[in-house]
Amino acid sequence: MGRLQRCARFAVGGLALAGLVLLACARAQPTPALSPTPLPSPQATPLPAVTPSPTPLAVATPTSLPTPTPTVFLGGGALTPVAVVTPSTAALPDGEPPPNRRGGVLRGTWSGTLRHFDMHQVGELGTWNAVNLIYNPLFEWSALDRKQETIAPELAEAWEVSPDGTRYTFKLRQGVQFHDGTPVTVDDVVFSLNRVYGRNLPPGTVSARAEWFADMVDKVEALGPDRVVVTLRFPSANFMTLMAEGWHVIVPKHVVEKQGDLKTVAVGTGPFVFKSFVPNQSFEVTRNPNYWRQGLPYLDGVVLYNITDQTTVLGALLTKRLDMANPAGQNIEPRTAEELRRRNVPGMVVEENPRLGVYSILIQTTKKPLDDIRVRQAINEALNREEYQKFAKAIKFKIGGAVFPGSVWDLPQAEWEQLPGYGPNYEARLARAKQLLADAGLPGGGLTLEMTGSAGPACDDAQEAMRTMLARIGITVKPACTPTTDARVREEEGRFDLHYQGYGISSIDPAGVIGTHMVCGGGRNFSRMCSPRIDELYRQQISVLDLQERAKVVRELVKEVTRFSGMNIIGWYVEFFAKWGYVKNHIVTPSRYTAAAKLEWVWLDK
Amino acid sequence: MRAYIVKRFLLAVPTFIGATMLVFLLLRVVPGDVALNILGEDATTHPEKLAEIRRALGLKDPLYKQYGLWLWRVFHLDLGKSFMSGFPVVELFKHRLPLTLNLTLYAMLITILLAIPLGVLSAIRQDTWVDYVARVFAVLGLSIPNFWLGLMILTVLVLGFNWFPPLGYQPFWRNPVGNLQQLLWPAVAVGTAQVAIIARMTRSAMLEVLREDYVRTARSKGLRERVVLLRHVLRNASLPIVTLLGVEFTTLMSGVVVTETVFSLPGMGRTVIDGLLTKDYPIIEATTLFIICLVVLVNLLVDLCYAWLDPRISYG
Repeated sequence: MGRLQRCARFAVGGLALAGLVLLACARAQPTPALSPTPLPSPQATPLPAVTPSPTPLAVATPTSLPTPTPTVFLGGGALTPVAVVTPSTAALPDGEPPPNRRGGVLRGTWSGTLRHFDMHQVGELGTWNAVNLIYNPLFEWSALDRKQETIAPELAEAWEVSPDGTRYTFKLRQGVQFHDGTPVTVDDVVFSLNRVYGRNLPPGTVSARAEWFADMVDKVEALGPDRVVVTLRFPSANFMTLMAEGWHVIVPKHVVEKQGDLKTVAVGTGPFVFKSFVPNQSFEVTRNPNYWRQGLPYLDGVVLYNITDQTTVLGALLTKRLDMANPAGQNIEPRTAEELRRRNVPGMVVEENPRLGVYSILIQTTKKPLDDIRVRQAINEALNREEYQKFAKAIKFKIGGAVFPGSVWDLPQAEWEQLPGYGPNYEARLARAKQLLADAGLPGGGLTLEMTGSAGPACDDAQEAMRTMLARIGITVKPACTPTTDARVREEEGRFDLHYQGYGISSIDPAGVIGTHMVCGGGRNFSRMCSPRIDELYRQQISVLDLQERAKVVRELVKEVTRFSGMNIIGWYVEFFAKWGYVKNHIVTPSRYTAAAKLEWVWLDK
Repeated sequence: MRAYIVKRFLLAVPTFIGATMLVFLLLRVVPGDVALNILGEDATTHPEKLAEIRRALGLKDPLYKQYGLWLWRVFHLDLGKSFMSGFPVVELFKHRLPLTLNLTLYAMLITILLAIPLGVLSAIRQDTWVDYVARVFAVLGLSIPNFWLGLMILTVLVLGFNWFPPLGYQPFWRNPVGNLQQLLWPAVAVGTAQVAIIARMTRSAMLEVLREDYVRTARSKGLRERVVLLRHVLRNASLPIVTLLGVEFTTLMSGVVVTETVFSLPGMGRTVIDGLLTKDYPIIEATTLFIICLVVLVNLLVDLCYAWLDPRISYG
């Protein structure tokens, strides 16, 4: 009897355990069916056309400016290296969705730390991924242009530029409402722009990108109920390109004044309305039914999960818990992409896109003997960029320099080959590096340099690459990858000999890399580069309003910063995107911070 | 008993002050800059901007003032706001604590259901194949890192069954099936090591007690083996097991960082790590406070259990 009872207990226990296992393996509750929401058909061209000005502008200097005179609305094309276009559904790669394919919730991931919701106060991909869905700026790099050469109007439907290039008048789109139902007014725009430029900020509030505009912008004023005027201190060729980065969103003045800031609230005018945020878990938005761009967005909502582990991302993707990884950037790592390609999963799309971001080796230019340009150039010459890719398993890049490869600013290959670190004959470069060291009083090298960086596989690979390459010219590299929080302090304080850095650039304009990292007092000039010639060329290129003329100056500038060899760029980001083929109209632009990340055109073909 | 409990809580006060002060000071000594972290990795920086952030957060005040202010707030049940997000720490904990508690309870349940029977079996069948299997399992359980086990579980689930746990925490009271689907596997990953530890402890404690005279006496009285084992052996062997379970419970509640990361669970472990990486002082300080309270409470409960398990122990 006792044995029978024991058997029975074992059987019951076993069944219970088996039940638990089966329950856990069972299919999850089916995701709510993607109900085709009957949306009104989007108008083919919901916005009035804005025509780029055909007027060629000559080089203008602040000293030879005529008095600003009233001008007609032209559009912003004249002063930017870009065209201004109204987004048109004709440009959509996958077209408009059929009525029964509208709606549904896109499930993706977000990267890094979503610090808070205040876009003006932070510069970090995690915040951008999620919060940008909720807001609009005045205008932005177009969502439909993979080359990022066009600016699209958003809350400003048109603008004019005074002939002297110092006065920008923006005509605001009428009838736009914030998500709380209040209309967007000229006061909100003036308030938002002042916040971006770091003006009249209350204690405790900062602007993450105020330095871009600090010298450039003089004042922001309302001109009647529907126009805002931004007056510059001098005509600037990059005012529009910097402003076209999606961070400079229009925020509701009344909410900021009530809350103090926007760190914990998100009330915008964008295609999606904030629904919920669970730190480290999920960020959810729903469709804005009153979105000013009629018929958009196509989706009913977006939910982003904070998944940091690549294996987890891969598992969730393969089992369709996710429709795609991060829609905005850092979607999947190269090795995950490789794994997905190897598996050749039917229906899975793996894309490879060049992005705005640089991997670089910084040299501390104020430290002896690194303050000697010959020593820096020797290090640059020994840096074999092609070979570096073999060491770097965690990243992929396109070899390049201080400007985005293939952009209007880029140098012809022949000119690159004349510069330190880019010559085609590596052996010859090594010989030159040794000679440079000898000229600098360091025959045979004999240097030991500490190389810092933010701990992780990319930093480890960088250490290994540099250790191997610099050993060839007699320089010993002492590795010192430390946690990000410490690495950031070292960067800021310039406490390094060599420093590995991967940095997502916020602007395709030369200001993004050169202006921030390579001019005296630049906001991220960790190498402490300071050369009168570089600064002079930098100032000059900003004041040249003709694109081709400006490009000539920028190319000279690129040569100069490369020769200076303070921030040695290895290459530009190549990012991989994995998504199911039913995710339509997901466009990747070079910058992460463009309208493409707003996902308003995305639809699900399932 | 009441006096004992009050005394234990009073004794916890210096522990609380000492530990929080230590953490408070250590946080400010370790490298890193809160202001830089708040601005984000891609922001441009300027000394004035950084100074303004530090000033607004009160980080320019003397350390004793900062600590005093924090302590004052704690006594007023205010844990402050996260430096990074601006959200009240209590709000952040509301999201994370239920998940961690839930995961811990599942792991503890697995541990108790598997480890104690395994340990008992192993002890009473010493040096038989049952014992060998149990011991091998215990050694394996201790040797396999839980993150690796977690990854293996996920790999098998994805590749073998094309299945992945649901994303986003689903509370038990809202969706019991979803909750179980989501947390059972992480609990297995986390619980395996606990099972091994407790099983080994149960086995050795049982073996020790089995050799006691009173066990022989009980058997000689003609008591049934089951009664001898449950009432005389297991009960007396359970003091170290309960102590260890208490310790394991506190460890699990403090967060199982890697498993949380692998299974994408936003629990206490990730909170602590994120807080440390970004130097989000209020989060770390509040977590420390929570862990101290938890340790004090669990240890007290363990001690009270002793009195219940062993009548010779009295706190009267």
